[in-house]
Amino acid sequence: MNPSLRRTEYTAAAHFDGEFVRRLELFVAQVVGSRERREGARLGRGAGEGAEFVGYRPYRAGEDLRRLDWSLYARLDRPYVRVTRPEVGGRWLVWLDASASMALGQPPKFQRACELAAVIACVGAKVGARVGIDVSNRRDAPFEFGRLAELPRLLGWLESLEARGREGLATLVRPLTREAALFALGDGFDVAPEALASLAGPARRLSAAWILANDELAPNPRGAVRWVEPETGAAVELDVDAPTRTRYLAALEARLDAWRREFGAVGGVLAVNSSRAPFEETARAVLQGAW
Amino acid sequence: MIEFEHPRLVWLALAPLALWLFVFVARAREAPSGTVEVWRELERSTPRARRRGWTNWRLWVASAALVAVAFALASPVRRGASPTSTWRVLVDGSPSMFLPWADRGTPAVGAPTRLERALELASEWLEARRAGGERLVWVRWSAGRFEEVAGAEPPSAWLVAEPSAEDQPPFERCDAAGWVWLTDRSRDARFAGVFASGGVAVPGVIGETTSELVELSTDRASGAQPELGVRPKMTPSIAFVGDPPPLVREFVETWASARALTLSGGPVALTFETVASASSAALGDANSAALGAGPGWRVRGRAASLALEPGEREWLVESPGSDGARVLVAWRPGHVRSAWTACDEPEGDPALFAVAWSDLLDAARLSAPEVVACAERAAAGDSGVREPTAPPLEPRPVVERWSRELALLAAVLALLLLG
Repeated sequence: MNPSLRRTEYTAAAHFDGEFVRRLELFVAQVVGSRERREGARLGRGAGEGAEFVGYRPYRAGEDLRRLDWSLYARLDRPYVRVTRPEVGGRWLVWLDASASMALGQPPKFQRACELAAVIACVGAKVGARVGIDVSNRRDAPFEFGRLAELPRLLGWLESLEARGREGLATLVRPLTREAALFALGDGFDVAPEALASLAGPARRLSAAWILANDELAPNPRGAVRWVEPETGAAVELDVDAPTRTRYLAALEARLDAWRREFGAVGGVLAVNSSRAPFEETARAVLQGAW
Repeated sequence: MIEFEHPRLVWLALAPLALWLFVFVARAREAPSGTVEVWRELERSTPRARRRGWTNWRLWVASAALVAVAFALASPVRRGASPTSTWRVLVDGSPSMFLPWADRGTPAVGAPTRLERALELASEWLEARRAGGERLVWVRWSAGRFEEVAGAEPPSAWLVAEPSAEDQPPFERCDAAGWVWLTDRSRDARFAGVFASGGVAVPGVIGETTSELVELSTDRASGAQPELGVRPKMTPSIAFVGDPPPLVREFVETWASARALTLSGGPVALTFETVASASSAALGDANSAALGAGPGWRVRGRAASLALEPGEREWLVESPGSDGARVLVAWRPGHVRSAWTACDEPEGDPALFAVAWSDLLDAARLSAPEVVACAERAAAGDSGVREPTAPPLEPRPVVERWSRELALLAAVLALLLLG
């Protein structure tokens, strides 16, 4: 939380330096190389299937019955569907929360979110996917990225974004058709878990990274505090003491648990991290199983 | 313009600054957060954690109450635009002031009086005072006390000789800064200003006997010595108003006879008024037993009560031991008023009783209107003017005062805060 920020100044923009680009390239090479090594070993064992089988998950009402594993149903007497990995080279979609609350944190949450968007785009391009980036407070078409050579253009575009205003991830939620993977990047407080979870499907992987400011994850102030919501200016005034902080942490954890349960039910991945944590840590989690 | 009687207390009006400073220091620190929803949930589940700070309107009301208290204590007032100083103009009302004035020869018929001349000498100075917005108070010595009237001009009645005109006023009691004397003779004063008309001697009647006027005549043009002459005068009379008790009436008539006063006709030298008679039903309880006493005598009887009128002096007051201390007999020149409705024969020495009453009637009896004492008719010398010492500045009078209203406002605001 940046105490110098005032309600009317809750804005932030991302900035990328040469060191970030170096770390990005190294990270992409590591993640993709590691993946290729693992896949090479498994393919060597002779699976040979068109759509890669990943595992099972419980059947949900309304799903295509053709995906039901009848033999497993016969054995366990409970319905499970086969989960397969989409075809490599499909379309990935990144939803980037650029609401005012993303300007909070030191560094701002928006900085980390943009870094993650760049990493996901580069990894996607590296593995042959076409990546679109949709920003919550912009009405124009998603930024399209498909070749690593376009990295400078991508970073320039990301730097042109600004976290401000009221529009968060909730404004981006809409039915999806052809996307093989959806990455939601934000702080996760303006969108309902089930709204995102419903977008996951057998052919679509759902990953989310909730980036919170350090003061949101572990608030430290004592005494009278007027908590202000950057998007709306709504405030709540509390006398914060140790028991209040403990109750806050418990309430926050309960909310994150609800997210985890909802994502777990659809085979999605949720990573929660502080904006202070390096992007590599969070990116590794959200990219896990993305292709 | 608003002024404060206790201006130092106005500083208390800054007390709200301390209040605001305290609230500012103790205010909740503002912290933006993306997890306000979690905090709100906490507020709902733990009301104890809700901060009960002062709302903005309470702060304003408290500030207003403090300011009202401060101003109430400082006592704001609005003062009138009245003069910054007051001058007291003593009008000498002694008989000589009403003699015609001339600086040489014999005063002509229709000449101004010495008083009018003194006023004329002071007119320029008086005009300057009036133009400066200063206050003028006209003072006259009458019936043994000072009479004061504020105004731009002296009362017109003061410019005319009264039959009861007395000796000159006690000038020494009026010798102070801010005093001005209008008189005929130049007088020594340390602080007071003096406008003295001066004037030549004025021959005329200087005394009287029971049947004649004694006149001093002179012809300055021929340089002849003054000569005394006599001429007959109209027989004065005594007039009764009301019905005095027989004892009183008998004595007064005896006195009048000795002074050659008739009971009717001729100019009235004395009016003897009885305020109520024994048969007056309207008196009620006011007509009760009374005891009046003088040196060596006393009289018992019944009497009503007598309220002193302007210019009147008490002569006989009910003796201690009787119920109350009513004035039984009062007088002013030319007039005696009695409250006795009935009285017994005087106790003690009857001669002393007669002498006392005779002195009263002699004092109250008016001389013939033409009579002016010889000393009064004497020359007053040259006119003279002495500038007065200015009076000290006076605070302007308070026209409006708001302490009570402000205190009331503070109380209402305090109730609003507590409510």
